[in-house]
Amino acid sequence: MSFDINAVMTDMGAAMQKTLEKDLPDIEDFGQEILEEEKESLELIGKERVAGRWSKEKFDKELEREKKVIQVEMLTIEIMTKAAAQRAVNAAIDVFVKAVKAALPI
Amino acid sequence: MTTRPNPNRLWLAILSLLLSVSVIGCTVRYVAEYDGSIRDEIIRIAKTVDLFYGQMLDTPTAERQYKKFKDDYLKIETDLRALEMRNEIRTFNKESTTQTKIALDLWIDDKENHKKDNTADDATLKLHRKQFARVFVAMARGEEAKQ
Repeated sequence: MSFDINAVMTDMGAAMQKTLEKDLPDIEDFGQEILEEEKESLELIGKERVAGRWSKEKFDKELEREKKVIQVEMLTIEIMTKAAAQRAVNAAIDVFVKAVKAALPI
Repeated sequence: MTTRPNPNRLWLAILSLLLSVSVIGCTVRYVAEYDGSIRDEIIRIAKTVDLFYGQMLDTPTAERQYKKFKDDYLKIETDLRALEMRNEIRTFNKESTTQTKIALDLWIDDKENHKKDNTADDATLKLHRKQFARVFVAMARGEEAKQ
């Protein structure tokens, strides 16, 4: 079998696209979940402050905590993105290795 | 008569030699390997924390003295420190390690505030219960993404 780098590159691109198409919706869904959860938390914080049950100091402190929670969630997005990239690159490399193996003069 | 080597075959032979050496490690790694026991531990701690807040919310506000909950604070803090250590020793795992450090910071913040005020209001407890649920879900989702 011959080794056609152009055909191999096309197959590598298709392999990457296939894994990314599977992974990217999960990342998008999680992003949406984060927004929904955040809305509920901010609503509670806002209501307590407006009702005067929480001082300005308490309000600021709770907002700082919220920022940390969002940071944790964003780190998950980062992990998901890196893992998706890892799967895509490895799928492409796998296509390349298989193409070369198939073309070996054995 | 001498035969000249086919350049394509020569190129493939070199490539095959390279591949025979590197094919085993021929993958990239950007995140740590998935560890199901870490995911299970996150879920276990999440349940403990949820129970902790549930018990406190079930206790009348006037009876929520710090000393009643001190042991549980320390147990959960120890669990989070152990999880932090398990995450820290894994390679390609800085995001999960940072997540655990933040969870620990939030927990210690709760403990110190309770110690200082010697009580906690319902709204704070409900909010923090929810915050920890979000943190643990995010951590578990992050671990599962490594599969």
